[in-house]
Amino acid sequence: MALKGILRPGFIQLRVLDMDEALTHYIDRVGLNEVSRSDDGRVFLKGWDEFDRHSFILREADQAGIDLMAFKVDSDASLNDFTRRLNAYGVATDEVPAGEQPGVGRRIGFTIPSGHRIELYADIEMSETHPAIENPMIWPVEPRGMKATRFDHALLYGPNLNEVLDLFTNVLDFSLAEYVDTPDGKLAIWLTVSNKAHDIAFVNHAEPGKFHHAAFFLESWNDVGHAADIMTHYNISRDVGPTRHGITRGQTIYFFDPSGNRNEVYAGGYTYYPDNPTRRWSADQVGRGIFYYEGELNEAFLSVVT
Amino acid sequence: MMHPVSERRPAITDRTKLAPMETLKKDPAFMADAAGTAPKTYRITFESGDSFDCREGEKVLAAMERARLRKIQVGCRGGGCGACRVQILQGDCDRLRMGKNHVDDAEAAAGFALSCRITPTSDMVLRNAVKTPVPRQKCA
Repeated sequence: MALKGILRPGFIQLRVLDMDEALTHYIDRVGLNEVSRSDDGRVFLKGWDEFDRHSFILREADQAGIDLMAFKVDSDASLNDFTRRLNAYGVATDEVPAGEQPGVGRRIGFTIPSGHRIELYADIEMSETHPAIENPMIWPVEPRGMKATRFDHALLYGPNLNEVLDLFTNVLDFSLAEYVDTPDGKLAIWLTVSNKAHDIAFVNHAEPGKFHHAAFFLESWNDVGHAADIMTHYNISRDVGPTRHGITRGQTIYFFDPSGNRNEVYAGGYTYYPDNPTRRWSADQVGRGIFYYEGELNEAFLSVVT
Repeated sequence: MMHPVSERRPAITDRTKLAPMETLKKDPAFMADAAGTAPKTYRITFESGDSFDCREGEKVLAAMERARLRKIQVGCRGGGCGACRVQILQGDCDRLRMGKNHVDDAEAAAGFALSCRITPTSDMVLRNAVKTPVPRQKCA
């Protein structure tokens, strides 16, 4: 199947405790570019290799965590189609008018059984600093900091994993690429709507609406090493890595922004096709699946979320 | 309301005018090291009796990690996750902003804090006060 319907993760909005600290982190260290600021204090950012206007939004608040994650769909007709399918499935939707975010058309929002707000949209302006199109040089301005190319995916924590899986696979046309199985049922699921090993993932967790990490894609394992050098130099709070995930095979570092939201920088990962079988990890091998070289989970993986 | 207007805060610093050294100069421990003088330290003691030194301007959790003690869980180190929540039994400190979902105003007034977001201004006595996990909830 060609890529149709939902195309990819479009943007994510996170809450931060201190915008000044957050911008130093995401712009100077991670290497995102600032696009604009809105009157209500939101700051819109993007990776250097993204065509769309923005992909990463920060909002200052009195607690950290995630406000929403949005996926881009291929057309307004698809947006109507997904709205109809969600409503028929029993999911209530609301509409955010065009322009609520600068440069973004109308968005359809809904709450999934894990307690997270997900949105779909079809229209967003092209970035003024988009990658070149005519005789394209690699970049218009050399990347900075960790050289994050794009917002890639997120891992979210919340309850009702089976219901989330059913909604994403049967209504939103995602595929289950991998999962961690336990005698009590699925512990974690990795879902893709594209050629990537995952576009969004969930871990079963009692408290709804929690955030584990947002990931930025890097070009290479060397860039993951460069990111580690930057984290060391600037004393950035690091969780684990550089290492590799068995699940998705991504080469990775988990670290934290100054408000405690976990970030990931990520390179590699396999190419997924919709006819690939779903990969399964048994409970006794979950450590290898999450942290391939260490072979075990660290204390923070299942407990430290915002 | 989807996007509550965040609390009004001072204008965001123009980061292009901030050299890395300017950030470091705000760190009393760095300036003491640079001047070759011993940084002022405060004694942080847990109820259990274990104790460690915390430099002026240093976060309590960072000092605990430096002392290689594990009396509190180390989480995000940014005031977001709540893993390092403590109750201050004695002593005073300065506080940076921390998640209100972990320490609300009443709890802060009662001496609760996230140890990654406090710097001591006197010797302190602390108790681990991590919240128990929230019970499983069903969503509509």
